Amino acid sequence: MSYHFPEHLFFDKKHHVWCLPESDLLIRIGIDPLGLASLGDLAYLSLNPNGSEVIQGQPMGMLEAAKMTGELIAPVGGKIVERNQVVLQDPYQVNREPYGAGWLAVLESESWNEDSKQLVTGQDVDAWSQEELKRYREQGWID
Amino acid sequence: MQWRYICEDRVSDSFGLAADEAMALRVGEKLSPSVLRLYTYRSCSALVGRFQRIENELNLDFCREQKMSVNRRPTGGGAILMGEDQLGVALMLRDWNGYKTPRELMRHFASSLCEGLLIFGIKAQFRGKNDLEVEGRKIGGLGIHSNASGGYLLHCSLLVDLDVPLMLRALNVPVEKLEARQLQSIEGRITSVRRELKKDSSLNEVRDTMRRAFSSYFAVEFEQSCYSPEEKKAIGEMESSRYLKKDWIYQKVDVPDLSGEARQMTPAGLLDVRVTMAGRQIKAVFLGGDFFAEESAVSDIEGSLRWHSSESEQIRRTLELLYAKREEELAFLPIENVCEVISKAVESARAISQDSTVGYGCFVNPKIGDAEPVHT
Repeated sequence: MSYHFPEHLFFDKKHHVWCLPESDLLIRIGIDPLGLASLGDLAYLSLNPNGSEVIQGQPMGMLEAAKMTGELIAPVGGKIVERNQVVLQDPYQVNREPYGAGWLAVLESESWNEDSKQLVTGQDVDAWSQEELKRYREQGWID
Repeated sequence: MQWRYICEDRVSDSFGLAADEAMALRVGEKLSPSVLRLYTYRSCSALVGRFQRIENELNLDFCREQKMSVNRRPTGGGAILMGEDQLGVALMLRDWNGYKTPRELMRHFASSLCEGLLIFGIKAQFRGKNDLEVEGRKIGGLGIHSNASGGYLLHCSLLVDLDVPLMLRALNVPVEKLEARQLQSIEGRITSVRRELKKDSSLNEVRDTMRRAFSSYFAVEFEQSCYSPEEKKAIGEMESSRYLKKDWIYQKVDVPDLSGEARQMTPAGLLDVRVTMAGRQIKAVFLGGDFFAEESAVSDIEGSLRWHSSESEQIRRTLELLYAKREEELAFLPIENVCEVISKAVESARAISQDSTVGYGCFVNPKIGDAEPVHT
């Protein structure tokens, strides 16, 4: 599996969730390949309903993967305005195309300017992702 | 190092589940050291996995008639029956000895359980996503749940004993269609501490042995412990906001449950494969029909494909590893035939593409209609 981290995305450094600002308010989110490597193939996924408010660093859904069940942590605060129905019915799409058809949800975030300061993007992505790859290999999350 | 030890008996389903999850959260938040909780549920509680469809998995009418409580676990896997003869083993921790990944923690958790069983002379091993087995017969179901605070809940339902006919009636298995031979086949793939030891060991004896095994394996001292007032409050809040709520217990799941079947003649005889799937993921495979192969090797095939990708290449890769180990016992059952018929069963499940009503139990493989048992 290749671990690619596009510099135009914003990454939650701890939980490996990516963000793509699509307008001043709308942020598309998904799980990055390293986050998926630690989980294994996704079998089930649930997301909080459309219209619900989520808080940065707090659960916004749950998942069951080959290796465990766990919570999906919101990378930024906001309101869920769209959920990807395709991945809710076929979570394996997230493993197949984590940056494409496997996106999870769109948030309307008024706190993006503040919350995004906690995320890594642009030129900083390479150094961060290299460190993470090293850490994941040392801990046996990936080969 | 000192960990907490909590011992409880005959807890309600909602309290039992809430205490596991609330304590794992507090351990993650560093409000408590690691906790080992060895406990039993009030007989009986039928508990489905985190994302299972309860109406597909449980015979709710039977559960109601028998006054069995039903609930939903935070951990994944299949439906289980918990009562006074099943030991709940819950370990809540953030990390241990530098190990922080779920895979590593699960391996050590399973190893400590195996060491505990070995004290009784029972040689168990961990396999697949969540199986603790003795020579291919399942004796425990394991699960792991991670939370936002960085805590892990590792859980095992360890069979000190099990009323198999009761379990089959509580789970949504078409039991009226099961003949004696088929019941025997299911019972042949499950075991318990009492069955292995051929004596009536008490649950407390098993519990005390497990506590000692965990202490030795993890090199920790256990401090007998009760819940603090803050912990009781957190557990109460978890119970009332989740495990007593119908919204949680009967929640809908978007991923469809599918089932399919396929048959093929092989040099070993007729191979009849049934699969149940969660979307694209195989939940379980059952190999039936009329063929010659070592029963434990057949159980190994089934065990290695529980919660497995349904992609043909990945199935083939897994089976190649298994065949390399059990070449002799599977000599008359060519891997090509097994891969092909499993793939056809997967295709048939996808083609049918509608919700199955066939349940997947933690301790029972899928049986559909008139599926025949394996002849060895």
